[in-house]
Amino acid sequence: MKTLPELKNAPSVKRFDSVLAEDWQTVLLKSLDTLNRLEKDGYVFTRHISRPVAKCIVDGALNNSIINAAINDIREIQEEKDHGQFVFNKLSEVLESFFAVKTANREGGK
Amino acid sequence: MKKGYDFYSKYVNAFSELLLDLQEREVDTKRIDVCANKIRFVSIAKALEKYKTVEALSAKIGIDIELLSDTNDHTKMIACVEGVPYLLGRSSWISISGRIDIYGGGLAALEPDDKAQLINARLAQLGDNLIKVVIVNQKIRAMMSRKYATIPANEVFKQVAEKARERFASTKFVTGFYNHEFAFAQLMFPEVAQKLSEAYGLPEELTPGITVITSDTGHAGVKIVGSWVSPKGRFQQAGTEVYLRHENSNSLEKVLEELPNLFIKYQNMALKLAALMGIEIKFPATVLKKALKELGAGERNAKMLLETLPTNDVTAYDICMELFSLPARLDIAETSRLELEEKIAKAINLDFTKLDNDK
Repeated sequence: MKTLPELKNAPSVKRFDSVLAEDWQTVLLKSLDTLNRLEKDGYVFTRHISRPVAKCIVDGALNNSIINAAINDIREIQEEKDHGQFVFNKLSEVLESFFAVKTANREGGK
Repeated sequence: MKKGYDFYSKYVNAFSELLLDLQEREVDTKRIDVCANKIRFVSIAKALEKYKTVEALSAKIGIDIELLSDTNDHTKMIACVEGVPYLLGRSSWISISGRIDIYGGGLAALEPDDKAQLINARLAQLGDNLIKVVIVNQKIRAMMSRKYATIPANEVFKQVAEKARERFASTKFVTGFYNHEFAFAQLMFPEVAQKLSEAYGLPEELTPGITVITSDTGHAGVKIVGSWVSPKGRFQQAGTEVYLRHENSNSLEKVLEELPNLFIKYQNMALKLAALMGIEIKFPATVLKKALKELGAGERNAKMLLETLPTNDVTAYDICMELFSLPARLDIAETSRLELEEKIAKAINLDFTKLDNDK
């Protein structure tokens, strides 16, 4: 399982990085972009997951219950067998980010 | 030197002094909307034929002799606005020759009487078209066309500085200046110097700052330039600038909206993009076109971007990401790509809600 700093420094996250954003905001936004792409490309409906998480980023405060609900929703989609391996892998990446953010928040290292 | 003199100018050492001076100047400012054919120019020499002495003429205008002499040294003209005579300030010439369509370099070289006749003929042609006459410190400093939007200099400095403080924690005033043509102020942001220089990959000893230049008379525009200040106090321009002419629907609000585009790397991109996810767009094609137009990135590119934009439930985030993808999708030279990237980066600061209508 990757840590928040590792995820934040990944090349795919770099384009979302900015000086005033906290690491968890940048990493979450990259995950939301992944979810947005899955919906945009017609694979799976994700907006109901993205919206509340986006609000956390805007508010600048991580809300554990929102992240937990998002994790549960993503797992439910993964359990549906008809989405294929590509979607499963992408959703796993998102889950990894959500867990890293949760862990860093619990340890006080945003 | 009296404030009304054409060449009056002042350097100020404190921002509060600049604001106070410009506030006083605003109090001593009149802006009169008048039909063009209600303005008559007359040379001071011609007026003296009637009133015989400078004293009598200055008494008629209600202005002290010194200001009359100052005018006689420069424009040598008086303009009667709906029958009320005003001295014509030197700075007004820019707007008179340019904004009411009197062209030709020879005009300035004419004798005052001929000049007055020519301008009067043009004003008569313009008939009841409205002209905004700006009178500051007892002289006409500008004559603007009806397209002119009033944006007083004191408000520009006050509100730009407030916005800068909100964004850059604190501002340090470097210097300021004003005369009857324009005013400027230089501000630095020392508290955020380290973070900003880090974002731009520049040496830590450089301090970011802005230069605000505005003219509410002749030139009629606002320009705000981002800059890096060296320890020796040398200003060097940093990337893009904000420029807005005082015309049509332009307003100070529009200037303030553009400010986040200065030092655009100094922002919370995640927060801004996440906020865009919550904005539903009703007219994606129109918004995309308007955004490209506003960014100066070519409306013609909308067709290509629309091909990959989702068809349903489009958000401002979707549009912003399409815009961000544009430079990589065009077959253009590297320098053009960098220029386009700089323009497109401003998409994050667009007000997509405002663009979302079918007009």
